[in-house]
Amino acid sequence: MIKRAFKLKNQIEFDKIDVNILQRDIIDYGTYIVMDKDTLALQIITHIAGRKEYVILIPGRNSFIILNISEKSRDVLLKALKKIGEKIPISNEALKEIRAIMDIYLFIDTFDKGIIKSKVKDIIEKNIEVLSKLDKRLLKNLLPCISESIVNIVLEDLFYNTAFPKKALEYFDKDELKRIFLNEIMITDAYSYALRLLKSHLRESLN
Amino acid sequence: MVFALALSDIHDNIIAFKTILDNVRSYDFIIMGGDICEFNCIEFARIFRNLEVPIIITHGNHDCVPSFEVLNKKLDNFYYIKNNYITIDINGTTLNIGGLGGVFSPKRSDMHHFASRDIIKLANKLLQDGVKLDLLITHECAKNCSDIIPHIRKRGGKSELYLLHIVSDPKIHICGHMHTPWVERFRETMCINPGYGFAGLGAVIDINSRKAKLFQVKLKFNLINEHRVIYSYNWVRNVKRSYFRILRSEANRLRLLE
Repeated sequence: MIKRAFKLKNQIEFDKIDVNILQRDIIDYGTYIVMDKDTLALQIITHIAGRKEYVILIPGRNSFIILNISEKSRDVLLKALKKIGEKIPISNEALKEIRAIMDIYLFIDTFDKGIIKSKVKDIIEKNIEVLSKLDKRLLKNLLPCISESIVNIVLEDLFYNTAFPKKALEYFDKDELKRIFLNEIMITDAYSYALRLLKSHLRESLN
Repeated sequence: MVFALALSDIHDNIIAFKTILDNVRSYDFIIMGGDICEFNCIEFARIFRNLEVPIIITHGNHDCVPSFEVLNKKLDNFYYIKNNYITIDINGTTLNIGGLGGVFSPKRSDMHHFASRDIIKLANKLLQDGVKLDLLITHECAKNCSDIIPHIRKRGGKSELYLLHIVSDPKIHICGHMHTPWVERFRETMCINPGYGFAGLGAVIDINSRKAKLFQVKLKFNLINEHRVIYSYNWVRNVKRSYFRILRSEANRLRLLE
């Protein structure tokens, strides 16, 4: 799981709270709370198979949420959040938004590197003939840009052919979703994969 | 006579910015040395567009750089200098103003950092164009040039910036980052750090006579609470990938502002 941050549209504001009282309410869910005394950031933590997974709520004029969750911990953390929402002022709207963000977070994780790499391979194989006809020096200099462009094309294709979770669509417009999608998917591996593949296919043209 | 209002390190504090503008009246343009707005740029933009004086700005390490780029295109009185220089006419006085944004890093050169090669690039540009600067704005301070670190009172500037001093002989160098208001002469340059704008500090500079007057306006807000908000941003800054995405989203919101 990767740590990701999101800005909340719904503001969350709360003062210092007695964490022990909150802890008693959510202990049944196997979660516990840590509050950062300097920033009042509220961290709700659970452990799944020995791994620490958490949600961090950062209150303020600009409120944020930081997630590091899996499908297994999502429901537990959401339940804990709802329970906490009874004691501190977290509006229903904010809870709904957090739920939508969790959906998006988990949805992004479903795009594993395998899908991206196989699509990269397809595009390279389709265009290799044209590329091999380019001037050797030009090709050498263009390769990094071509590999980057191919990955970007794959990501755009994936984005437009993907049905996003309905709840996410209520809170994020298409532009915002695209930004999240293109920025949050780990693609450095895909770039180097595309470059490697191009170099191996074009070995003859480059020598 | 040309007067400049120099501010830096406002750190998203819109109340402090408004109060300073309400209290300080006689200036011909505003210079900002970075760390102005990060997640609150829309509110700052609303104030910027109602100002009738030019605003000349470079970014710090806690600024929404994409928002500045949008404002640079959107507002006529907003001049964002990013590792470059501009020539501007203010009340009949032509000024060459150079700017280098961010803080120094030996290796990194990104949205909030500059490396030695960025200093060299700007120096080369100034040399090629044969430009001598009237004003140099950087967020990072040069060594021994108003670079007092608060509390420990030691010098924290970077000697790498001397290259810009040697190449362009700036008459005035305005920096920020350290939060300590300080005015001193270093070689032929007047170094001015307007201080922590967040707490209402700033400086009014007479550009012709190279004299600066530091000031602090009284602010009415809960300083501890406001500091808490600023500290809480560190949580997001630590998630680099998402942080830059959120900054770009902020710029997009600004783009849609009427």
